[in-house]
Amino acid sequence: MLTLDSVWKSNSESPSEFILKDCSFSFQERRIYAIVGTSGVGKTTLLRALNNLVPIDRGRILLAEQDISALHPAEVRRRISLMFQTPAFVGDSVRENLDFAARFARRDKIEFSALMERVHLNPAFLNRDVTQLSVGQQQRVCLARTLATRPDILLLDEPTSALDDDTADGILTLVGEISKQEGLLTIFVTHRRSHARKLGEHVLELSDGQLRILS
Amino acid sequence: MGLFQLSFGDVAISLVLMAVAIALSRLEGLGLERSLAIGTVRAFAQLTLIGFALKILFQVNSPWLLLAVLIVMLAVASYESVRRQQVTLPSLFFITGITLSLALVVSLGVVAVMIIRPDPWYNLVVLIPLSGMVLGNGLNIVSLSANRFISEIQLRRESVEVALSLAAPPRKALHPAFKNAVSGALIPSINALMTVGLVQLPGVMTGQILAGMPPVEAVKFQIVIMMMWITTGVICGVVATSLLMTRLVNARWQVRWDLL
Repeated sequence: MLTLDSVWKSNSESPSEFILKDCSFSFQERRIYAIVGTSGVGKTTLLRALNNLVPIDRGRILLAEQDISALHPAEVRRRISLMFQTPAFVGDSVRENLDFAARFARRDKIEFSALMERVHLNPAFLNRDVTQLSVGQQQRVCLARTLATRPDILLLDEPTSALDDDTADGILTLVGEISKQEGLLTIFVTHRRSHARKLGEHVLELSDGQLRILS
Repeated sequence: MGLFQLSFGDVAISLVLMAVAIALSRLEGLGLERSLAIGTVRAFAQLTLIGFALKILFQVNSPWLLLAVLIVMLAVASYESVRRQQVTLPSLFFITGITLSLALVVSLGVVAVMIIRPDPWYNLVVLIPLSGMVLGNGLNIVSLSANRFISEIQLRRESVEVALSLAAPPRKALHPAFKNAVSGALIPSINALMTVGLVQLPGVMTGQILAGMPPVEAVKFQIVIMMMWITTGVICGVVATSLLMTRLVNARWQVRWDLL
């Protein structure tokens, strides 16, 4: 479904160092992958490259056998959706954020109230200012916004890093449920192995520029 | 009303004012004495030189000379806009050149050709001062909006990336930064438009009245100049920031963070 084919990606801070070195791996559809690795190893950069937010130096990233560099950038991002580590917003209210995502998704319009319920948020929050929500609730809004694009692939960049254990557990369980219900390929990066084991059907490690299967 | 004429001696008396400014700076420890002194010498030298140069240019008065002067003015303005940036921006010299050329075409096309209608059409007495006003203001707006655009993108990096990751086109993802950059650069011009005639009498009008023109006639010129000044300012802000955006985002809709 999503394949890294001999990908090289340099570190933007230090272009002579490589985060991905001739890295190849195939992610299968409808599976949940957790990627672990130490801080600064390049997990975030890997997800950003998969979402086409940053260029790769060499190699190919294939989405359903098609090189993403040959696809329109919007098409890649509609099919591969990324949820960032820190909640960031593109509108003041929850509704504005969901509207923004739905506007560029070019898929069947999704019912926002149902979407809110799916991420365990009260639909009455739709008109609330995002800054009035807790960090856990903000992350749920970000997850709902990511789902509003109706993606085939969900990328999650340490979505639990700013959360306490209970809230983090709730988000992980929720992501697992949604991925299964929607039949999404989900790739989730974390530096906490317990979280990787809780959510990941396959646990990978990123080190020395390569992805290795741990379990 | 007669024409007021100043001798060089009269002009030299204005140095008393600068002496007051320098004394005040020294008294309050502002550390501006050297800059004020150098600035005064430069202003005297540059304006005297340009006064004599304009005298010669106005006597020669040819379309080719006009073109040559405009090219030099455009090149100096473009170089100055690059010099004023905090970071080295790609193609800013050319971006400023294209933007200011467009502003010149619009302003000279409307104000000179349609309103003032000089005879001959390339009359340097009309076109050079008008071009100077357009380029001076345009340069300020380009510099302010480009600097502000860069800092807004850096400040909003996370929301810009979220918008792009949601398949928004770059123009949409960068619109909040674009809007703040252009509107921020135009605030001084819009404030000037609001208070003109109430708080300040602008330079063109003041100069014409002092040179003996009836106030109502001077006001007519000033209104035309203000319209030209604001419109070219808006054109410069919008065009320069849009062109800069195309340099900062590649064809794959990826922001060139390495350039910022």
